[in-house]
Amino acid sequence: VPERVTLTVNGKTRTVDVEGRTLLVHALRDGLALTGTHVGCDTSQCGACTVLLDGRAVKSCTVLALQAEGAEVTTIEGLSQDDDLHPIQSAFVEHHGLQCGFCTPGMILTAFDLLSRDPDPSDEEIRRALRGNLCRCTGYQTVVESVRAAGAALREERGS
Amino acid sequence: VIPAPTSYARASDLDHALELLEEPDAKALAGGQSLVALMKLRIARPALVVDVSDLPLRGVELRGDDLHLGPLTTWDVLASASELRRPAFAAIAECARGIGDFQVRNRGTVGGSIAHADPASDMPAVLLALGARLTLRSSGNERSLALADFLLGRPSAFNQAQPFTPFGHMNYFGSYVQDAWTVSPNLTLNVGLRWDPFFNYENDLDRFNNFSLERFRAGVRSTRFRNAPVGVLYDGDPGLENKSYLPNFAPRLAMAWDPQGNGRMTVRAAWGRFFDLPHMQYFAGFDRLTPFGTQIDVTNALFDDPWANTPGGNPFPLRESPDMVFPPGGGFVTFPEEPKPPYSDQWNVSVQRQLGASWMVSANYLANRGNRLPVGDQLNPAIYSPGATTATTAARRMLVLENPVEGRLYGAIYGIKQVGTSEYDALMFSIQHRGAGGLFLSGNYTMSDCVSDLINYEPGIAGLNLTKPGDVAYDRGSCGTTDQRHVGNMSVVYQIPGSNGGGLGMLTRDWQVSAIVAARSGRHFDVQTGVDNALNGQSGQRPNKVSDDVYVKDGLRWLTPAAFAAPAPGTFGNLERNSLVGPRRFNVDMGVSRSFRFGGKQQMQFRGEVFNLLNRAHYDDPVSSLNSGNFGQIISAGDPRIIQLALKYTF
Repeated sequence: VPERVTLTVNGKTRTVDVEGRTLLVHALRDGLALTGTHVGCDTSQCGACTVLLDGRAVKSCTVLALQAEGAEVTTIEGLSQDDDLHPIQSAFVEHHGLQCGFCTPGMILTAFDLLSRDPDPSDEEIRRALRGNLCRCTGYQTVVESVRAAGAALREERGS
Repeated sequence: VIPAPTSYARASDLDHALELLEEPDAKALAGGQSLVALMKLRIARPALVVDVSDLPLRGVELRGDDLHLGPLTTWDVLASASELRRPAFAAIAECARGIGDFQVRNRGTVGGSIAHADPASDMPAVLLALGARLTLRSSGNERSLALADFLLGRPSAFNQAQPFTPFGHMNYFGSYVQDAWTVSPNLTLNVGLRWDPFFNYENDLDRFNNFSLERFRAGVRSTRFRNAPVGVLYDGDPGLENKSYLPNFAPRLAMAWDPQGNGRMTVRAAWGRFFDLPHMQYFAGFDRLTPFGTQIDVTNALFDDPWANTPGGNPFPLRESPDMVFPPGGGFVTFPEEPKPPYSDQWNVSVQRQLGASWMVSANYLANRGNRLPVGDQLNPAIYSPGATTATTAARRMLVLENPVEGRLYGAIYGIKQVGTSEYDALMFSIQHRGAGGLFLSGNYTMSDCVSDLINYEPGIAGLNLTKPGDVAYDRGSCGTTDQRHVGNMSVVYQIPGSNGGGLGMLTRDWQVSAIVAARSGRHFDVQTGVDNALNGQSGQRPNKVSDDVYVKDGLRWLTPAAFAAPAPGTFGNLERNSLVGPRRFNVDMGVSRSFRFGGKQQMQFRGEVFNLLNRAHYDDPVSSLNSGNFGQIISAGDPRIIQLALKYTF
């Protein structure tokens, strides 16, 4: 029996028909064609499906779509404004924080949650926050550098 | 990795959630970090998930020294909650910081983790250590439960007993006089008399006790233990004596007769009485008995504190005093005040004859009659009445019915009675040959019959007790596994004569071949229902034999299940004890050996041995418990053929 779920995605109110068992990641990708959210391991390990649910990073493969009723969801598509990349995205580009890019949306949204709480995390805190995001090509050093740089950029933006 | 179809409902408030959760197969969903993962693997397939995340059950709050955690509080909140900076609660925050990863901590909840109760999860261990309690709510009911009890459920049983300290001593003494009398050159008589006084067991902790029904009915109470129920007396109480029994005289008589006077044939006959003085282990039970070894069974115990519902709390260790508490349903084993040791009368007649130079044959008759053997009898059986169940056993015990106030302190009372007898008769033939050609042959055949009462040789540890209290005859039957009607053995050893010289002689000399052939008929056993059909509290109850067609003997199926039926409640089965016979056995073992001598003391021996040469399946007796799924079937067997090779060097 299809049910209707209404939620705010990247600032717009959207309605999707889902089943009770439909996962949020499938509602986003198949129902709303937001394929920037990736399905990696599908077992809550790799973090490729990370989105922000009411501002918090969550793994959308382990959330039922109906649990997001009335919630605000931000996907990777919602970070950039028009053609301007979000500072975290820019930092990943500048510091080679990605190679194939499959894990990057999840990395960036996790970093977004971290930096929204603490714009100046230590390297150890960055690594702790990214523990649930796996990368199979670049390794993590440039990712950590990207997040550190993104924090600095955000602090500058706020300070200005 | 898609969950099975399910319905979803979001609870608006607590009552709504409880109402939704009454649905069969409904599961509460909070953060979903365990439940959704299990649903995706289809390990969990709830018909309905009830999303409780809107309920106002979040938060970390200190109330005095107590910490209150809302079940919907996420790991992320716990990890940084200022209330958890107190040293007493810091472990909760530290544990929360290590759970899953950042995203999982954003959604996962402490209540969900506890409800999920994964043995591998960390937080339940921390909360257990901190003595956490849960407030549980269902429609119309709220209760508080310690975390241990929530995680593990109810213990099915809890009991604790005193340590077992069998300090005691016994003195043994025996004397024997005998005289051999040569009546004539070919007839000798042997007469003897043994005296085996029995000095009763002395318990060094003064724990000897004795129960009697007469004392119970007369209302006689121990002066040593004020709270003891009437009927049982202890060491030091007037009217109780621990007596020894001394007049145990055992005459022995034997004769040997050479009827032909040429030394080639003898006739022997003997008769004797043999006392079997009980060993210490036999009396070991005193220390296990009420009140010294009191075992307390706690019903509805909780894991958190098994003694929480016991008035006065944990009573252990029990200290011996006149005010010792006697728990309800205490266990007792009671020996006669004047135990008389068991004895057996044995007699035999044998004829031995030498045939030719190398053969000897003999025929023997042996008999053995056991007397005063210990029989365990339940003195406080549960009395059957319509509607009785095994759950009401304690309330139906005879002494409780006679005198509820005093009787409730008695559970099982095993009375040891010296009334058992046994009979063994055997006819045995044997043959021996010691040939000059290196052939040695020895064989024997025994036909025997063994019948006995149900003997309890281990009353100290409960042992075997009468199935039908007070009725020794009901349990009289075959001696069981030792009762094998026909037993035959034959062993042969052949030293191969080798020629002395030449290559052929080197190969063939010093070989020895041996074989043992053993055959026996089946052992006796019986069928037990495994259920207290008689509702008298006794174990080992036998079924009714409803057909004479008890054996299938087809492959591994030995007994016909349909031939046995559990007796009606309150009754005893008609199957006689040990009246069934198991598979017979035929076995051949063989050995070959060859010795090489190197001169001097050096020697090398090669041995090859084969056990179960014919590789026959030596079936064990079938499963005899009527309530087993394998009833009547043979499910185990002895060894298959085993070949063993050995080389031995002697120097």
